Amino acid sequence: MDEALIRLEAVTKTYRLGETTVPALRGVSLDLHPGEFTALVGPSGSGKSTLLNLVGCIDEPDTGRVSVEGVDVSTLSDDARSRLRNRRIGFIFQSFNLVPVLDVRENVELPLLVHERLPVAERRERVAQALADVGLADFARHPPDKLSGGQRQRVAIARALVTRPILVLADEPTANLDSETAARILDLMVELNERRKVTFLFSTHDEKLMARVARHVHIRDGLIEKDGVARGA
Amino acid sequence: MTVIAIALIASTLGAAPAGAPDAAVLLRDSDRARGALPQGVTWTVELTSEEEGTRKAKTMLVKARGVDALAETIAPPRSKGELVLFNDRALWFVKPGLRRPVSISARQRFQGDASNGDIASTNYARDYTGVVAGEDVVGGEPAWRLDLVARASDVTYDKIRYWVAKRSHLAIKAEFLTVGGDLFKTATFEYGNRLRVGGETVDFVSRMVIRDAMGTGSVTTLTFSSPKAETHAPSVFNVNNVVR
Amino acid sequence: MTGGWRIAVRNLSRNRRRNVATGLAIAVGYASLVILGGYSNYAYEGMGALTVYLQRFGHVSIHKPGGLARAAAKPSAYSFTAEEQRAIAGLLAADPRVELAGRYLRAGGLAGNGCKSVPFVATGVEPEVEQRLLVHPRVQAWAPERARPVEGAALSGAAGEEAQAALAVGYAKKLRKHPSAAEPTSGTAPLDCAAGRADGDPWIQLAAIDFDGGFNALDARVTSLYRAVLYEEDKTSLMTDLPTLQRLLATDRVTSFAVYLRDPEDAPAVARDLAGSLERAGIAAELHRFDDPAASPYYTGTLAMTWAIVGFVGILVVIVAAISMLNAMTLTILERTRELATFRSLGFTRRQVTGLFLREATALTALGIAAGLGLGLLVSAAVGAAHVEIEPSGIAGTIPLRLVPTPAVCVGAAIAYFPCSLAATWLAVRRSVGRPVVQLLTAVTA
Repeated sequence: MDEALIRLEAVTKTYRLGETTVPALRGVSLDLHPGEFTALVGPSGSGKSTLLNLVGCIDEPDTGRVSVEGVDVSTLSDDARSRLRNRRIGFIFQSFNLVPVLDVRENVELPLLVHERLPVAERRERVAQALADVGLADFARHPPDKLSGGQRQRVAIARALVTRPILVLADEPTANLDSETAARILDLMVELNERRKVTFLFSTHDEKLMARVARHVHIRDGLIEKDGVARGA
Repeated sequence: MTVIAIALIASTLGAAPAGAPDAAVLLRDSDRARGALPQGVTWTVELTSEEEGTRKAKTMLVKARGVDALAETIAPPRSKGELVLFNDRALWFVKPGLRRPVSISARQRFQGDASNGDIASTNYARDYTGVVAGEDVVGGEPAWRLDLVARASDVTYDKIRYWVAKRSHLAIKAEFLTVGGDLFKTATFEYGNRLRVGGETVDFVSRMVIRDAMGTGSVTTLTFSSPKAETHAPSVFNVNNVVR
Repeated sequence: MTGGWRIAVRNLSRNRRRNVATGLAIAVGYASLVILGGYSNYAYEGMGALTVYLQRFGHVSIHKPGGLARAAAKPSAYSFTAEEQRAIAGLLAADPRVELAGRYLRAGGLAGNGCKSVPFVATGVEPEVEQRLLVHPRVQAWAPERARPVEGAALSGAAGEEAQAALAVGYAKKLRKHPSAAEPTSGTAPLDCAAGRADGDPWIQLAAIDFDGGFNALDARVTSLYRAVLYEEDKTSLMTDLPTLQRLLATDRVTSFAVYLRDPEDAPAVARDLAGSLERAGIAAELHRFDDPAASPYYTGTLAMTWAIVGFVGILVVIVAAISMLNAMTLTILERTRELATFRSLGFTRRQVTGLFLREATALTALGIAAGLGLGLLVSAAVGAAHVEIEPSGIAGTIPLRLVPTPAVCVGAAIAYFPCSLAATWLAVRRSVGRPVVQLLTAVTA
């Protein structure tokens, strides 16, 4: 399938932990298509994060191939990969990773700062749009530490969306949130997926969150155990 | 300085030739023929020097008595009336119209190669510690060679090698040395003058020829003439009286 | 990258205590450079004024060949005839770069007070040149206290027949003479030299071997005492008006010309041009610039020493500030590893992330420098107001300590600072920024 946004082919990755080597991925192949909302499910240590990192081009496989829009990532320089991340991929972190000295608007604006030749007006427009999309238009001037956990993660989502990426990666985005807030964050992501046609790949070990997600990829011990469309989605 | 002088004397004493008279006696006798007479004496000295092709001359009338002397310039007219007063080792320069006498040094150049200390009477017996260091024949004349070391820093020369004729006790040659022992001037003496004093006739210096020993080739001649015994009142040599 | 400066400046508010400490290190270091620079500038200008104007050396001096070293000992052998003087004066008058020129006669001799004599090195000066020299703006700006007589009035040359002398303070002390001594009522009273009573009147007798080889002397009235520039000059030097010294030496000659320029920078060119025109005029001469080590060893030696100290301390100060910056940035980057990972994940390149830290260091350095500039100028002003006197070795007496930082000094010190701060920062962040993003992201330091 050539319309795959992301394609992983027989990817392996091991980590060295002191004297021992830990196999994180042992031959994983996966395609992500435009508009998909995919949950990567597995217990901790199963290789979820490694897989996300490879997809996000912040890590490289030992063997196998990662392609983004048909381009083999391993052929790109570090600068080209940075640019690829900036223009094509949005990141949402488990612990939000907001910059404390910047207010909400500035945090959202952050990835646009390295967009050369983006007119100021459009930058402002995009930031305002992203904030509106996550429902934080009124909090633009707030510093992150004055926000609740859910609000902070919304800021992170806005930041991930502001570059209009082809794919948003979210590594355990709700792990640090209470279940009610977590559900709302997931709802927001699903809504954005539907409304803005943003492709999402998020990892979780929380089975409850998967109810509204179409595609579930189960991973265990570095191998994909099950990849399918959930019932009732 | 004194310690060095004593050490020098001690080391050279043993080397004194057999039969040599006391150096002090030789100095006292040779000084008399160079103007250091206890009685008053007057003479004329003409000083001529040649420097860089120009000849200069100055004539002075010298009145001396013991350790005092007064040298008055009588020619050339430009310098007429200028005085150099010697009070023991103190020297004063006096010029007509000058408010005060100027204290000058014996070692300062007077004219040509002559120092201020050379122009009037010589008192080496007072100013130097001497030892007879050897004997030489100088110009056919057997002479004792004396090594003189200054007793004070205000005398004309630091060190002198001095040849005094054995027979006449007249100084016939001098070599003037720096404190480091380097030769810088030589002098020869002639005694063509006779002076009648205290009932006897003594030889008196008639010429002193000073030659530069550092290669300039300059020569300064002091010609002494008409020495005569004369009584000089002490007031003649009083610095406060010579300023008019 | 846009907005990088905003982030950098905002980041300064994080870990304020550390940034204040680093900023202070930079500020104190920079202030010390401003102060040192102010001192060396004062030394440079002050020594220049002393050498050129108050030692009467000029920016360029003209002597007979060998005369610089030997003229004072044997002036007759190293002197310019009246005809040569006219020719040289004509050359100097025709050069628009020359502001002022003075003829000088330097000679050794003895001055007596009636009891004892003390050797001197006398300088015969032209009173009309002196009058312009002593009020020259550069003298008034950098060494006004030394241009004023310590006692009495500067040589005027207006006393007609009466010869005048100005004595260096130390020399006057040896002679026990001062200008305010009472005039003797009638004639000259006999002196009681043994009692040390030589200070009865303001007259001294100057004596020297004249150009004819004869000994000459004349009376001179001590009209002023001045502060010589160099320590050894203080014990030996006196000045008279030129005609008086020429009369003493029975000559109409002079031993040197001092050429004072409108712009000191012209000294090399003027010296070169003068050498050429003197040669064409058939006048054998040697020319020296005031900054020629052979001509003014004290000036050049002192300045070389000052520059060496300033340079050495300056380098130390910059190194300390750089180490402080290295230390601060090393801690900063450790604390911000997670943030660094975030920036990298969001698509900032290594260079862009490094740029953020460099901007931060630049902002901190700039703030430190601004504070240091204020501190340095404050200290300079305070030192100036405190009227501290210092006694530099080789200089006669004391000089007021002044710190006069120039814009060039301040800018120069700042320029020295930034590369060091930035290099230290680059060293501190280089390794972390170079690590793979995934390592940064999982680092546990945050």
